[in-house]
Amino acid sequence: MFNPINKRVFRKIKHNIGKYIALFLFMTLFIGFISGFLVADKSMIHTYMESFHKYNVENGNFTYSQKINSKEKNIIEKENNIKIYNLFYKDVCVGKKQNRINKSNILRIYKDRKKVNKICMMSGEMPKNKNEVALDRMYATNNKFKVGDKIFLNKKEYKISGFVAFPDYSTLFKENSDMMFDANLFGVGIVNSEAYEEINSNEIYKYSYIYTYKNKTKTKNNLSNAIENEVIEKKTSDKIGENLVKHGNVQEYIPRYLNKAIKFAGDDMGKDGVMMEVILYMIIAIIAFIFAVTADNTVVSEAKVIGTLRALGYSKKEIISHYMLTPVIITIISAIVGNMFGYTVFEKVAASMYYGSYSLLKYTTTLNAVAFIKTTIITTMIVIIINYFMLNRKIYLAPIKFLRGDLSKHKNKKHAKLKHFSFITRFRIRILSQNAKSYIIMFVGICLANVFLFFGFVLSPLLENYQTSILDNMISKYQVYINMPEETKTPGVEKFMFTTLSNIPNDRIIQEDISIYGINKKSDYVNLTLDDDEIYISDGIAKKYQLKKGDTIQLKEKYTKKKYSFKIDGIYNYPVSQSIFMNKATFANKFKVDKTSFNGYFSNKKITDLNKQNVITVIDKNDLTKVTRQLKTSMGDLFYLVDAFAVVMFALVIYLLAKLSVERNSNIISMLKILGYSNSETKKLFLIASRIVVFISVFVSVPLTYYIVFAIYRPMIKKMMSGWMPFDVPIIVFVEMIVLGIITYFLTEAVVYKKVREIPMELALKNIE
Amino acid sequence: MGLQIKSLFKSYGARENKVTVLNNIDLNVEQGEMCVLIGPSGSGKSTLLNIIGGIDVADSGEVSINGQKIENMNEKSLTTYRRKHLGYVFQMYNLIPNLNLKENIEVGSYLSKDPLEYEELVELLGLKEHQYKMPNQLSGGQQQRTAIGRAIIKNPSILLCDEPTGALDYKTSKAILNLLEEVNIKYNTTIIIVTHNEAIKNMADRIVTLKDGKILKNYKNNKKISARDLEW
Repeated sequence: MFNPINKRVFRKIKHNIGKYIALFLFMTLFIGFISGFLVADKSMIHTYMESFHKYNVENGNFTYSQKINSKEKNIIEKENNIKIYNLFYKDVCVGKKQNRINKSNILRIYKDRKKVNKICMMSGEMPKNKNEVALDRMYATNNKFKVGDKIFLNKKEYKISGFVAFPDYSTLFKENSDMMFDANLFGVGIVNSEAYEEINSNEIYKYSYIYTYKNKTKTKNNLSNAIENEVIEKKTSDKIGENLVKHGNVQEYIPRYLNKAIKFAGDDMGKDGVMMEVILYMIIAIIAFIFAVTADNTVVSEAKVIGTLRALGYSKKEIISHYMLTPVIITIISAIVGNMFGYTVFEKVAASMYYGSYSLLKYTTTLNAVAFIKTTIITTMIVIIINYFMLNRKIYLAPIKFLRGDLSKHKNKKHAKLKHFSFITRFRIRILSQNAKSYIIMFVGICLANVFLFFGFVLSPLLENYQTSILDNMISKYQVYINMPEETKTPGVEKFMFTTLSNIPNDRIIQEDISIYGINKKSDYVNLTLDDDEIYISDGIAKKYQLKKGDTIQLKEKYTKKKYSFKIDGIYNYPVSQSIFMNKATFANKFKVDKTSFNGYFSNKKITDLNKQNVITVIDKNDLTKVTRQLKTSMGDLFYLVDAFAVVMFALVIYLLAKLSVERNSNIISMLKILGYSNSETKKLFLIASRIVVFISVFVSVPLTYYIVFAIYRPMIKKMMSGWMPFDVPIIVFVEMIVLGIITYFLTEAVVYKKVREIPMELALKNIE
Repeated sequence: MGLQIKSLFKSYGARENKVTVLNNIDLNVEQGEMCVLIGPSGSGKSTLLNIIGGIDVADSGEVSINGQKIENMNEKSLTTYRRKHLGYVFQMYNLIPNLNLKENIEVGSYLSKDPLEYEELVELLGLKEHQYKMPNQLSGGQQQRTAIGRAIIKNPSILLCDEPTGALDYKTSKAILNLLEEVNIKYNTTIIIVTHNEAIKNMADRIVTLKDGKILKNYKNNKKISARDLEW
C-alpha cells in the first residue's frame, strides 16, 4: 500500500512552488547542459576515433628539406614497415581583394588526397576547375567566407567551391611547435592538381606514413584500439626517427601521437567531459545540501507530528524516506527533463562550441547511456546519500524527544553568555549559531559560484595580460630563422645560434619544444651578460616547471633519446616563452657546432635581403599573439555564459538559505511584530546575520578562489598547453567579483525581505499551545 | 493477558541531580479494561504511559503486553511492537497539516494488516461530513476525534491517551470521552488514560493514583458511570 503520508509531498511542493520551480529550473538547465555536453562530447569522440579508420589517418609524418627519390622511399618503407604517401603542400597568403593580401593570413594548400588523410566534405563541392579552392570550414567561418565567394591566394583569384574538414588538421596548428593554433590566420585548403602546380610558392616535402604491419589502424577503431595504437606508435616512433635521419635532412618528424593538429582536439574533448562531470557533482552536492537543510527545518517544525507517527509505529526508515521524497522527485524530474533538453537543445549548443574551436568532421549523435547514468542515476544518488545522512542524524533521536519538541543532541549544551554585547549583537550571534549549518553551505556555495565567476572574469584579462607580456618582452620585432649562415645588410641585426630541444614528457606533462639560444656575451637584444657555461632560463620555464637558480633542467633531442642537462644560473624575464639562453661559445660546445656559425637573426627591422629558400620562418608579433586571438575566438561567448551561470547560482544559494533562516524563525519574527518591532527592525535582527555571512564569504572566497584556480591552473597548462601563460590576475577582477557578489546579495535580500514583511502576526498566536 | 508491569523504576539525572520518577511500579490491566491514571503534575503518569508505549525506557523492571516483554527490545522491535499493539492519543492532536481528515486516518490504517473499516469508524467518530477537510478547517474537538480515529483504525490492543481532553472545553471533552467509551466497548480495546481531571476516573474500570512516582491507589471501580453522565 502507498504510504499515505507521502500524499502530502505534491501539496508541499505546490505550497512552496516558487522555491521548487527555481531549484527545478536551475537543476534542469544545468543537468541539460552537462548531459548535452557529454552526449556531444561522446559523439564527437566516437566520430573522431572512427575517423582514423574512415579517413585513413596517417600514423605520422616527416618533412625533408629535399624531395626523396622512389628508391630511398622504398628503403625507408622497408626499414620501418610503413607505407609512405606524398603530402606536399604550399603556403600562400590570403586576401579578400587582390590589392589587400594579408601576409600574416596563411592558407596551406594541398592537392586532393585519395589514400591518406582523406577529406571530409562539409558543404558545397570539391574543386573541379583550376580556379577553385575548397577551404577548411572553421578557417572560412572565422574569416567570414561563404561557398561561392571569391578569395585571393597570392593575389590570384579563386572561387570557393566548398567547405571541407581535414582529419589531419582537426586543430589548425600551423606548426607542431606552436604554443597555440590560430584558426583566424591559418587554414588549410584543397585545389586540383593543375591549380596546385600553378601556385607560385615554396613546396614543402611532407610525407605521411601508415604502418603496414598486421596490427595497424585498419582494425576496429574504438577507443581501446586507439590507445593500443598510441602505445605502438610511442614504441616505434623513436626507431623511425633515427632511421629517417640517415636518408636526408629531416626538418620535422611528427609521429601521430605527438601531432597536435590531429591529437589536440581529441585530447581536449575527453578532458572537458571529466571537468564537466566534476562540476556537475559539486553543484548537485550543494543543491542536495540545500534540500537537506530544508528537510531539516521541516523536521524541526514538524517534530511533534513525527513523534506521534513514531509512537504509532512508523519506523525511522519510513519517516526518512518520506522527507527524502521531495528532493528525490525534484531531482529525478529535473534529470529526466534535463536529459531531454540535453539531447535536443544543449547537444547542439555543446557541439557548436566544439565546432567553434576545432575543425571537426561531420558527426552523428550516438546515444550515450553512460551520460544518462551520470546525469540521472549518480545525481539522484548524491541527493539521496546527502539527504539520508543529514536526516538520519536527526530522525535517529528517540520519539519522546520529538514529542517534547526537543531535538538537541546534547542535553546540557552550554550557550555562550555574550553578556558584554548589546542585545542586537547577541541576537544576531544566536541567529548565526542557530543557522550554522545553512551558513556553512552558503559559504561553500558562494566559494563555488566565485570559482565560476573567477573563470569567467579572469580569462579575458589573462589573455590581455598575456598579449601585453608578449609584446612588452619581445626580444626583437623580428626573429628570423635560417637553414644555413647567410649575411644580411639590414642594420642593427644580431646573429644567434638556435636549436630546439624537447622537455621530457610524462602522463602529466605534454611534450613541448624548448628554444635554446646561443647569443652574444653582451647582447643588444637579450638583457643579459653571459659568461662561459652560464645558463639562464626564461621565467616562463621557471614558473611552469617550478625551477629556480641552482636547479638542473633535463631536456632531450626531439627525435632521438639524447639528453642534455642544464644547471640554472639565473632566470631571465621572458614570461611567456619556454627558452634557455647561453653564450655562443657555450652553445657551440654543448651542441658541437662551429663557434662562428649561426642560424638566426634578432632584428627590429624587417630583413628582406635573405634568400627565401634559406628562411625557415620569421617570428613577429602576429605569430606571438595568435594564442590570444584563438582563445578569444573560440571561448568569447563562453566567458559570458560562465558569468551568467555563476551569478544565478550565487543568487539562488543565498536566496534559498536566507529564506530558510527566515522560515525557521517565522514564529519569532511574528512574535517580534506583536511586541512592536517594525519590519525594518526585524530585518536588522534576522537578515543582517545572513548579510554578515555573505559578506565574509565573498571577501574570504575571493582570495581562496584565486589559490584554488591557480592550483588547478599549473597542472592544466602542463598537461594541455605548450608554453606558459602567466597567471597574473589584475586587481580589478577581484574588485569586480566582490562588487558583483554584493549587488547580487542586495537584490536577493530585497526578495527575502518581502518574505519577512509577509509573515503575519497571527502566526505566533496560532502556534501557541 | 493484557498489560503487566512489574517492579518498574525510572529516574532522570545523575548523582545529586537524580530524580526518581517511577519507583517500584507494579500494575496489571486486563484486556478490554479502561484504566485511568490520575495524580498531580510530576507524579510520573506520562512517564509510565510513555514506557508502556515503548517511546521511553525504564531503568529496570518488566513491561509486557499480551505476554510480549518490551524491556529487552531493540529499536526495530520496539517500532514493530508499537505498530502491532498500540494506539496513541496526545493532548495536542499532532495531525499532519497538509493531509485531509480521511488521509490522516489512513496514516494509521497503513500500519495494520487488519485495519478497522474506515466508513464504519468515521461514522462512529461523527466526522463523515468533514472527511475531506484539512486539519486547519476543523475544530479542536474534531481534530482530537481524527487523532483518535488515526490511533484506533489499526485496531490496537491498547490505546494510550495522554491528557486527551486537556486542550478541549467541557462539552467537547465529554464528547471525546464518550467516543473513547464507545471504542472500548465496541472493539474491546484496552484504554489507558492519563489525566489531571479527577472526574474522568469515574468512567474507568480501573483507577490508579500516582504520587511521587509511586502507586498510591490501584483498584477496580465498582461505581463506574457512563461518560455522558460525567460532571465537573
